[in-house]
Amino acid sequence: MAAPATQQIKIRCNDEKEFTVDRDVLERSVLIKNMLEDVTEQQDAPIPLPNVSGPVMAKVLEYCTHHRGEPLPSADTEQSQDETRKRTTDISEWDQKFITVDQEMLFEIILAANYLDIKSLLDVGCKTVANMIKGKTPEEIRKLFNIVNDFTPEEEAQIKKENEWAEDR
Amino acid sequence: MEGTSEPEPDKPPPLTLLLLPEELLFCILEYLDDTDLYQHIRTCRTLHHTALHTLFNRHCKTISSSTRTLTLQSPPPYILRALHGALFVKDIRRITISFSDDINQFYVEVRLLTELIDKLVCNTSLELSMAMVGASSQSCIVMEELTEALQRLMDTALRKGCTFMTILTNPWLKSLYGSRIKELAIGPKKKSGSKRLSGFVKQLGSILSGRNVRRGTSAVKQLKDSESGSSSTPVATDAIIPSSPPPPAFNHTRALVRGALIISTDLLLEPLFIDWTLNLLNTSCLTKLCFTTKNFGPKVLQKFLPKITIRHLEVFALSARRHDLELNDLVLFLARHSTTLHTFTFGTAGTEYIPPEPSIPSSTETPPLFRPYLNFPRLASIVLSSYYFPWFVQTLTSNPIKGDPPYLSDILVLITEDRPNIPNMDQALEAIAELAKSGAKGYRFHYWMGYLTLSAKRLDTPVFVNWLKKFSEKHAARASADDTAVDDKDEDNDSQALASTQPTTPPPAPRAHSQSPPNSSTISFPPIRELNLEIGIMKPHLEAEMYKALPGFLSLFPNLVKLRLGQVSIEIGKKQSAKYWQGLRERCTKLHFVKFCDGSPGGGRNRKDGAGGGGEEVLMNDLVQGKFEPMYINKSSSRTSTGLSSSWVRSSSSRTV
Repeated sequence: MAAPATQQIKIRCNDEKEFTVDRDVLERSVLIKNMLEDVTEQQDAPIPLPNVSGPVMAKVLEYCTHHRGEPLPSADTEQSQDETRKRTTDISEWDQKFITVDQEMLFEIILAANYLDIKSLLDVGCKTVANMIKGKTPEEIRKLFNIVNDFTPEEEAQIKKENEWAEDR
Repeated sequence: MEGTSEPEPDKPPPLTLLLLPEELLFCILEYLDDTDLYQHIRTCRTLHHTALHTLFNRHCKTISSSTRTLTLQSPPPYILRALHGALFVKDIRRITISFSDDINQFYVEVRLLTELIDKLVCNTSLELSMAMVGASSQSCIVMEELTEALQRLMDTALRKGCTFMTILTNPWLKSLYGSRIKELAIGPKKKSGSKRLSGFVKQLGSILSGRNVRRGTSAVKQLKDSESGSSSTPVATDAIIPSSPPPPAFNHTRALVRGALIISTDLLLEPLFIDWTLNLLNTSCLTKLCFTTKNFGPKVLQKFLPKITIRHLEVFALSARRHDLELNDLVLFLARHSTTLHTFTFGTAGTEYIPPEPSIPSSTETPPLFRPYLNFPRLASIVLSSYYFPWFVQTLTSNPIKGDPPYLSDILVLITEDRPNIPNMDQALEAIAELAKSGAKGYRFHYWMGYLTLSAKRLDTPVFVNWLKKFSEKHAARASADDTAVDDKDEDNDSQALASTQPTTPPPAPRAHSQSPPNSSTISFPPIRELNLEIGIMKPHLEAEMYKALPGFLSLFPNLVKLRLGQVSIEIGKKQSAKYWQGLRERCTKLHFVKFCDGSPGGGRNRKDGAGGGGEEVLMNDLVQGKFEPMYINKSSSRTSTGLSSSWVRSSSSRTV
């Protein structure tokens, strides 16, 4: 897709915040890429993105700008990569630094990446959360994510008993 | 907390992990390995479910909450562990599992599965595949250990109400069992001589008193002991040992196994298993037993059948292969159960029991085996292969019935021979006619439920069609000879309408005909109301033949109300002209319905519910007036499994309900 690098696209987030971004940066998002391919004529009106807020979009754009020019994963490669991708939670150094944000922002980024269909960013986000969970006990996980233990005592007894092996494995 | 977000009243609560959509949760959990997923299982309800689902998606083939089915393919042991902790696991009813090939892993799996089943509210179906077991670690399998593990598993399943059990083994395992017999110094074989067989019958009374519970378990124990080398008496059948209390599992099993049970495996009759099996059967409260076992070694059934007595048995279906079954054993078995049988369904589906030519029973011969034993005061249905039929029926008719003659409602003749055996088929049908004949000792047919099924799915269709024709011609000819030919005039009329190719002279009678059955005059069938013809694959040119043969055959059944043509496409129904159906109706004045069944599994014998089963029921009137429009065309290509055993159970259960 040899889009002219100079082409500027306007987007508007749900908090009325607007961004003007190079087209190739925005096209990291499959959602926006498809939108742009559908409407070719008017480029004045900003593209509304009702599910993303300004601060989050800024973060996302930072990611997209850094990774601009990298090949987008096509459907085929995605398929083949799917197996190898699983459970390798390595994240590149830049990404790691980029994603070092507070929890709420992290989830917002995951949500936005999912909505905007930016596969690589979604992966980074999910891997980050997975890394946070790794090696933690249920209690630690609850604490970390502010989760309420909503099992009944009987249920918890059942679950706990059955999973004791997991600790001494 | 909420107060701080007051400046922006529209702002949603801060995003947390649990507020993410489920699909994203799955995305995240996908990156966790199994151990970490476990931690999640214990965190909270939402994560319990998502984490378990991730885990099961990774390792289970299916887990369906709607069908309550769990399918596992050599799962890692922790999957079974995790299942123990899963909150929904109680609801699982059906389990299908393929064990892994490593024998040690297998034991762990069996143990965990046993524990898992123990947790279920109930377990209705258990399918075990051991196809790979032993493939990698053959030398270190101790068959006794394996047997015991399996037995414990099965006991547990049975205690939970399992009614359908399948164990798929592999040849390797079988051969291990086989070699085990030799090691055990043929103890069981020697003892199961004819002496013990006759002794057994004498001992029935004492055995029935329940003592053999102990005996069975002690025998298992002794088997284990004898492993150490002493090959003396592995199965102490004759010594009833009063001590050694049975393990509780047996008690539970005994108390709870009732109703129907389908066991499908080739393991249960292995020497190491047979005591467990016998114990199970002899002590259970089964009312229906459908015993489907394949690949017996020769004479295995002979060792088995004489030893079982199921006190409350009402329905018995045995599926065995040719030559595996001794008629003698069968007769003794039947004799032991004659008093308690309510509905007796005996079939050797797939027996294909064809003895060498000379021993085909001629119907004038005294039924050699059934006679002294059979007396079924409440016999209601008979399912038999055509080979056994004459014997069976003659036994019935040659024995005076004590009390009121029973009402028969259901007869199925299995024409399952590999090769066409016309004499057998003829004799079977003639025997049915004989059954209802002759006054006080005749078996009455239930007025509303006189079903006759000729199941010829395994037979070459041309042979069957040809037989239909020959049979009706034979009896029509006989009728005319006896000058009772009411039908004869019709035949002339119809022969034009039907473009009949019926030869004017009777066909040369097959060999067996010359041994003419006792009712050599007119054949007259009992008042059968519904006739089912289950036919195999139909080809177009056969359809025409079939329809030519049909009127003659049907006119032998004057009370016919409904005709069911299995596996005949509806298209055929249309092909026949209204005139044809008119002709058919004139012959069978009472025939109201014709049901065309396609080959879908429900179409076979599921006759109680008129709507059920594939096929179209058409009023005779509509056919006559040409009103019948086919809804769809031939589906007969879809092969039905010839799993007669299951259809038995279906039909018999609907009967007893």
